[in-house]
Amino acid sequence: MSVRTIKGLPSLKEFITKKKNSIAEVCAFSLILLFVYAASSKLFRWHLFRFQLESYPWIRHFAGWVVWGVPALELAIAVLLISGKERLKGFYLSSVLLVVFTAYLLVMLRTQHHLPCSCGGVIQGMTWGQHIVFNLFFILFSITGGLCQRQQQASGSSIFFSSP
Amino acid sequence: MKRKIWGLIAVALALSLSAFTSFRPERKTGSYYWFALDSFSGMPLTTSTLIYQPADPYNCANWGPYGYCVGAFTSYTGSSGAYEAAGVEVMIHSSLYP
Repeated sequence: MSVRTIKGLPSLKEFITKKKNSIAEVCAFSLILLFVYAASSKLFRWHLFRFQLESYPWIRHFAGWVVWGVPALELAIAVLLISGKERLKGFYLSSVLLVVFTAYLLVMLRTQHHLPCSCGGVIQGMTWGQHIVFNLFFILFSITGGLCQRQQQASGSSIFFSSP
Repeated sequence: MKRKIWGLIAVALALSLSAFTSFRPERKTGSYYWFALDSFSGMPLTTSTLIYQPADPYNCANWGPYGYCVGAFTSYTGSSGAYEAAGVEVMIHSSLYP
């Protein structure tokens, strides 16, 4: 059954099916921008990042590892999103990283009040509530991008698989 | 190939933005509510006197490692006699004020 709410306009499903390549591209572009920005901001001011991690509950014991591990993971996700064949893994990893970070924030804000912002650059100006909304927005991007990418790969329409 | 070019554009844009925001001389010119921190847990302590002053590290009462002044908060809760820190804690570095 064809679902058309307004004559002449395609349904949402048809729109998504037709535009899935573009949607995956926009999601990947936004996530690459986010992760490279976040990683480089941490690395450019690593002493600040380390100091903030050391004041975080639970994480402070692993601050020495996390200070390099998180930017490395963020850059690895960006590389996966840029590379065509591994892009789906990039979307999955980005969803996992953002969900874990958001869950940590939610738990900490429920139990602790002393949580200095470890976010870099312009993100530092946000409150924790705004930061969580910001994360949720990018989680949505990761999931949407992943779904579109998976459909794209399943249908074999991707240029990564149709041409050498 | 076209997609990789878009990816590299995103990387270049992110690095430029990040370098601009990270290396730009940053001055926290606003005023904050200053609270003493518990030396063991690092949690802000309740105070009976509310201190609201600019983010000038020369007034800092709580020096953290690496030259950071800690205990500046964007907001507070409570009424006279028992004020508690609220909002976001701001990190202020001594190098911001030569």
